[in-house]
Amino acid sequence: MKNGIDIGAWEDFPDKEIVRVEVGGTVLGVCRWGELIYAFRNACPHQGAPLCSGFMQQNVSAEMVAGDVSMLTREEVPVVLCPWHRWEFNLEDGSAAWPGFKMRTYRATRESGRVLLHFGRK
Amino acid sequence: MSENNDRGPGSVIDATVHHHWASQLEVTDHMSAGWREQLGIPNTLPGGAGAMHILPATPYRRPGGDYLPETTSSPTAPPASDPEFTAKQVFESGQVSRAILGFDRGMFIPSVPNAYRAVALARAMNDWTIDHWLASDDRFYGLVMVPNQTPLEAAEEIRRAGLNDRMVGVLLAANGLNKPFGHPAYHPIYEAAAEMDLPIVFHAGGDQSSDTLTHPTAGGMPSTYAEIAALSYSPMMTHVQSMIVQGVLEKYPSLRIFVSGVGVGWIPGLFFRLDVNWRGLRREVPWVRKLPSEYFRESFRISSWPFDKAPGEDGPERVVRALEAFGGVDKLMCFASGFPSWNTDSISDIASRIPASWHNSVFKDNAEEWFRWPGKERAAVVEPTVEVGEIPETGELGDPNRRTYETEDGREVEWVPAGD
Repeated sequence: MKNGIDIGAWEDFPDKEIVRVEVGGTVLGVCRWGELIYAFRNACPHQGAPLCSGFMQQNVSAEMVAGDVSMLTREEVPVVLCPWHRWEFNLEDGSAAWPGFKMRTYRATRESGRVLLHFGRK
Repeated sequence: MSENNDRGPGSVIDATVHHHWASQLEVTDHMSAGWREQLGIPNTLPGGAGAMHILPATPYRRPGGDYLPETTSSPTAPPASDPEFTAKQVFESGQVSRAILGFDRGMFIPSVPNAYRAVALARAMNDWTIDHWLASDDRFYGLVMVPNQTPLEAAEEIRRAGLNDRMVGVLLAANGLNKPFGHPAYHPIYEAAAEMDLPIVFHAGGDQSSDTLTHPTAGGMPSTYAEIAALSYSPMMTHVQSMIVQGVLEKYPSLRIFVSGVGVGWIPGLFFRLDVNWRGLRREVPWVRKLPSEYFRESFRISSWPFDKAPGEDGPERVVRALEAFGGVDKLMCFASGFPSWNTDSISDIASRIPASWHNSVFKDNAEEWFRWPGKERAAVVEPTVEVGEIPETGELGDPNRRTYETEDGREVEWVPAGD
């Protein structure tokens, strides 16, 4: 348990659900996506909306894949959508669908069945 | 603002000149015998009667005249209806090397109630432009007028009249189907234009006839010409937004559009809103994969005419400052005089109102690049890389329409979006 803040057991975080966690007065959203777990600040960088009340979705993009003209959703790229204006942020690095704003993300890890939160640089 | 406002000889392309017929016989002579018989011949009955007017009336006229004075060769002819006289006036300064003819009130015709007549008239007007105008002066270039209330016939006409090397674009003015131009009903027109490598020209004012289905200003029928003169850009914003959001530019990536007759001052405000809304609404239109303003910069050019003129001595500076808020307008704007309209812009006036560094691109380079000039090879169609209209499943978790969450004071609040 080095350098991490224990925020609960792995089972406390149901798959694909945003859980609101308070750590030392800072409110975070924590969510599992399969075997991955993410943490982000509960404030949209646009107007401060509570992102914990937002929605998790797959990233949608319109890149052409191998000559196939279609729309693409990516299971492995989860995003959170803000409940107010539906701006969307990549859970991995907080990047927005269009650059300019970035969601603050934190590193969360699983160790011995516990979920650890790491403040500071990712 | 610029000090040296003299443009050198042949250094200007005029992207919008309005041409008209002296008598409708000039146009109907290009129609079949059946149509000629049905439409009749003016002045064969007492009092000038004898023919059906091919031109719908317009309830909107400018008191004091819709046109510059002395733009006709004869007192009974409409302005800019004599090719030689018009050429003399448009090219007399020596500065203009090419002028694009875009019809005058003839642009009402695609919306006349009789769709078959609209098709026949559009064909005749294109042939009349080629025979009567393009043949009279090789500095004139034309736009293919299309009967857009029947988009398949319109596409056919683009493929027919667009074969003429001097037809450098396709004109959409009257809105024949009463739908924003990005509506899928109009897509056959864009397919044909992309195939022929012809830019689509949206021209304000097509909706000013009494037969109009759409209003010439947004929000309802205006009462006066003064209202139209100020707000003609309002339906154009609808069309520009529609082309981008409905995915026309993803479906036909090589399509180019030219917007004429609405000035440029409206651009910053529209895109401030559209760009920022797109961030939150893009999942409704996932095929719109770039900022709307990026599509605008890549696929649109705009006529300077009628240039926005703010009051006051520093008016020109303030207009340019407003345009700089959007940025890069010098790469989008093409000089157009609008001749012989009452608000025709002169080269020297526009040159004095914009920075000197804009001159070359505005007066020539942008239009040179945009229209399909003779001798320029028709560019190949670019295939789409995304399925416009497809909505993929994104696995939104939880019911987005009805959910509860805890508030800071511990109450449970049910969040129900408006309209539920």
